[in-house]
Amino acid sequence: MRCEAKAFSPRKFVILGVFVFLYLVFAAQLALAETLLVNFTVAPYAMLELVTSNLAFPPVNPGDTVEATVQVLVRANVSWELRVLGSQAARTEDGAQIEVHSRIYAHDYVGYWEDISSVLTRVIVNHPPTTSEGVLVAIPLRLEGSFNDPPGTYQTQIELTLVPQV
Amino acid sequence: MKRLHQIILFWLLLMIVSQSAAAMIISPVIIDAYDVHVGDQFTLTLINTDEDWQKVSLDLGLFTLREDGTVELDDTYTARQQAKHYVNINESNYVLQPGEQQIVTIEIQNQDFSAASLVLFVKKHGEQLSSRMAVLLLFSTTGPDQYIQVSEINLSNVHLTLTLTNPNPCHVFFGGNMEFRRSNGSREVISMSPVLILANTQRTIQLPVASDTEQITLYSTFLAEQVSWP
Repeated sequence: MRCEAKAFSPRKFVILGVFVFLYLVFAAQLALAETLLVNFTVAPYAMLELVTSNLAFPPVNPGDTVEATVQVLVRANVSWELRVLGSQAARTEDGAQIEVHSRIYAHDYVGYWEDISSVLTRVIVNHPPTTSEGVLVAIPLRLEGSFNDPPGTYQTQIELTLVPQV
Repeated sequence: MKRLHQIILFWLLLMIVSQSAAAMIISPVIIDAYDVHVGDQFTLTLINTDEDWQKVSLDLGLFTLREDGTVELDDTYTARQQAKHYVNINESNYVLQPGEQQIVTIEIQNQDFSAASLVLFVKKHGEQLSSRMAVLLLFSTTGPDQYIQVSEINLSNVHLTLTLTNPNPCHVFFGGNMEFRRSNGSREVISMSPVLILANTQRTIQLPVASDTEQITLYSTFLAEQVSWP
């Protein structure tokens, strides 16, 4: 009984406590020394894919309209906007460069048909960042035939611009 | 059975179409830097993920922001010349083979400005449809040393409208946290995505809020002190 009382004397308790405390402080310092701060940056990224690479409208009578759709796939980790611009210049079947009067319209973000041969049209605005699969955007286009263009097949250009929003 | 064959054929066609589509990856699409000097270089990567080669051309321009944050691109001759005065691109035309990536280097060649907002157009040429991606470049020869000012703050039942003024001669990406106190006493803190405010300009931000929001507090290291409304 006396031996047991001696083994758990207050003095030994204090010494043991000090040793445990010092060990914990030392262990904590070791753990701190092993901590490494890692900095990294995720770059603002964007991908634009023309799913429709060439577009052919069906034949149109002067004064009538026909429609077609351009599809693009956008993948971005920033908000973005998509704009479309056409041209009044066109190439005839024999390769001559002329100005045409037939007009191409795009459906803008507020729902109006804008003449893209004269106005840079915003078709998507403030689109939030996409998932890793991206977003497939269908842009409706409308061709209005003009009496002032002689019958024939013409080739013109449309340019789509992806703009990051900041 | 015939219907099933049609569906399989449709999906096969879809897969073929999606694999043959032309795509271009650009990273980063926004580059910003303070305290720039002549000779400083910045890079971006172009990647052709198409199975065919792609002709790509680069061109410069300027951009500005409307007060609502709409990016106004300026690709006129004057803008191009102004941008070319500030920076130089190592190469303007590339033919990228399938899977190839190219590093484009942009070098500061004049520092006679306090803030420049430039745009690098990366254009992929097609016969009828061309695509263009705008890379926004923000360079300042100084850094921000003044707080952003909240010029106006309005709370409707669905929107919070903030008008912020940047008095610095350089751009700032304003960010922070907003605390919303609801009528039932609950509080919600949301992190604001950084918004660009060009040098010495104002920017109006509209954020959706719950209709039972009673008070909003804005915390940001860009503000001299927190702003509460009402």
